[in-house]
Amino acid sequence: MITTEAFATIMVYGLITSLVYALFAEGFSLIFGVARMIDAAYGLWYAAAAYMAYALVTVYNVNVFVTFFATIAALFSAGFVYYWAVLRRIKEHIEMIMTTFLIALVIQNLIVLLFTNFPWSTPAVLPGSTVVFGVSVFNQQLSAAVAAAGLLVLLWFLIYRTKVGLAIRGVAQDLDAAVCVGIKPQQTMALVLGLSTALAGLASLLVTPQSTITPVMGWPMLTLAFAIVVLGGLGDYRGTLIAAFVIGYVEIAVQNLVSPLYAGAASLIAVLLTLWIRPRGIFGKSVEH
Amino acid sequence: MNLKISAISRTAAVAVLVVVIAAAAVGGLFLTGVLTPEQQKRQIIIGLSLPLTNPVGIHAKYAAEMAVEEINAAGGVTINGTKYQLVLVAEDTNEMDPLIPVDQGVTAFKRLIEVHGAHVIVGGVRTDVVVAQTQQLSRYKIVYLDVESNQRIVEDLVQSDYDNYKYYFHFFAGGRNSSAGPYIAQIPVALRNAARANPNFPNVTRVALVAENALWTVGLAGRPAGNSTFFQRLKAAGFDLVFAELYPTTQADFSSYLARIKASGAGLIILLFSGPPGVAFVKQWAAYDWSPGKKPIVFGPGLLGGFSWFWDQTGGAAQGTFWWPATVKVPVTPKTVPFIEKFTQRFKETPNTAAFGTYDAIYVLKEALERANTWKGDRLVEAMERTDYVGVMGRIKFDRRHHGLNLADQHLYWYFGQWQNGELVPVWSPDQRDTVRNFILP
Repeated sequence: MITTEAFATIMVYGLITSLVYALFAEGFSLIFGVARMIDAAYGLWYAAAAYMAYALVTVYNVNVFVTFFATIAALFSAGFVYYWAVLRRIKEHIEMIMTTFLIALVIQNLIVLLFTNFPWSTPAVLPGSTVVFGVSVFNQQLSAAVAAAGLLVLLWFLIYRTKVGLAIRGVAQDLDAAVCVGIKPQQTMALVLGLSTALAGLASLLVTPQSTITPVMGWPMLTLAFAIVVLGGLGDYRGTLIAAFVIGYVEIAVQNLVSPLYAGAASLIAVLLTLWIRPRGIFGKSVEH
Repeated sequence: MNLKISAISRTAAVAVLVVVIAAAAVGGLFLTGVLTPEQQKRQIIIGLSLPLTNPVGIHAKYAAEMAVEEINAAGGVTINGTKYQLVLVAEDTNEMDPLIPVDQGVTAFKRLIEVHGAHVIVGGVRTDVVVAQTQQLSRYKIVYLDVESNQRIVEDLVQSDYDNYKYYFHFFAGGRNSSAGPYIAQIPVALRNAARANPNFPNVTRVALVAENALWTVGLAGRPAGNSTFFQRLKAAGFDLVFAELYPTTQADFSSYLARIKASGAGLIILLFSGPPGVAFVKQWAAYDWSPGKKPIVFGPGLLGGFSWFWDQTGGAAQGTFWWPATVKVPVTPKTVPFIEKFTQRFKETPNTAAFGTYDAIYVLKEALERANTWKGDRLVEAMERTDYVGVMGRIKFDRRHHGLNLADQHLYWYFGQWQNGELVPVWSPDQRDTVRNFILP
């Protein structure tokens, strides 16, 4: 029997966790949906953003808001260059996975070289906590959830209500047809990579001030993004959003009702079960297009 | 016929030339010292098997360098009347990264011996890595000085399988006679005594356990969490274990744990951690919305908690938490404070436990080498077993049955330190077991 307190805890923490997961996974989904690429380095951009922010705030004493925008701009630029310099030249999927995996290792080792693998942390921008429906929530988490919700709406608006979004969807649906109507696919894909990398950075900057940063922090996030995107249907905005909520709530429910040790395994079991029933994922139809 | 002779002559001439050049090259290499066998250089090579990009390994390496420089400056090690210099070689095991497999540690260990020609191994941090490395000891017949792993597994193996594990010597607590368990069990009692005199204390008789899901926590925390002799004794002493959970080594968000601890009414959290999540836990515990007068006290064996970085890592959130082991500036022996000061002056950081263990291990090794008159494993083991040395962390005494520390006498590992405004202040030690002194509420 679930107590009212436990139910409220699951609902509140589940919502916060799911929103951040969704923000992070939408970038990964976008890369697959538009560029048909599986970016194994995606989790490491999450780590890179955290370390850049740590260096700017803690080592160079840069203002947090300047740090925030500088980091996002740097991540967007890195994603853009990453596409033009590396990903654009790769044609085979296996080559893509191997190359991006190696880039992930390079980023990780650069982080170790510059910062050691000791856990560091940036101070919370909004310290303390607030009670929401009887549940204590860190202000940092609360602001992360609100920001993630806003950014997800903005992302939806960008993809479904702007000309840039039209170009992105055009490339995702039919590359040749997109070229015929004047869309420049390389520029669009580079833009998508920049946008996705920035989303990974945004998720990182919202969450990590409440936690610690380590060079390997990106790998569990990559697994998470992969699970969400596969569950939701590769490359589908709505599917990714719903899958993020499924995984977020499953994890928090298992943490509170069973044991935190099984939270990660439970979410992966949820993915397997869904794929067993519906192999294309929740909204997998869009992949066929 | 002449043609044949001429061909043979040419072949012979080329062969002779090749042999001469090769002989000159090899001779040159020997003369320049490149191929000179290590023992002819009168060196004893100490192989450091450490996580070299982590401050645990970095401090151990610093301390090893300090000890080796001091010993060499004083004339080195005398073996059979000949002076030998100590030389350090190092391999990065990266073992403080929980995602790194044990194999990397074993490979580093083998490389130290097979590639670098190490005569003795100093290192050991993560329990599973140490257990795997020590399985190789009898194969190489090499002495292994473990400076940081918090376990008794290999010490037990020395007892049960002496021939294969006799090469292992343990310079950190957590062994057969160096368990912090009795100290940790006494802390709740001391806090309960303090609470009787101070109504502002939370209810410390209600205890929560939060433990890293790692091999070193099995004995103390039990499996499932809370199912251990330690907690049975705590319950018998009048304490209620109201929350007990393990956390995975990749855990970043402890909101759910803290919500459940708050609901359980725990006034005392025993946190067993050695890696990054412990830092996150403390930050989140400090930021959590506790009811007035009910903010639980946090203490535990937390490797990072007693490091000088911990205050900055948590942005001051560590205020009021207290930890074991803690490298507090207490004159445990006449060598302790001078070591801390020398290390701090040179490296601009307070030495951590790995530094203490490594520094003493090198000096113990030096004395054992001189007793054994060799670096060969079997005879060196016998000499190590005659160790009775007063080091920077306390007295170190080994014999055939005891290859680990004994905390019966005053020792660095006696002390629990509490973070108070950026300083680690000693608040408890077993010589005053029933009270906490200079203690502040978080």
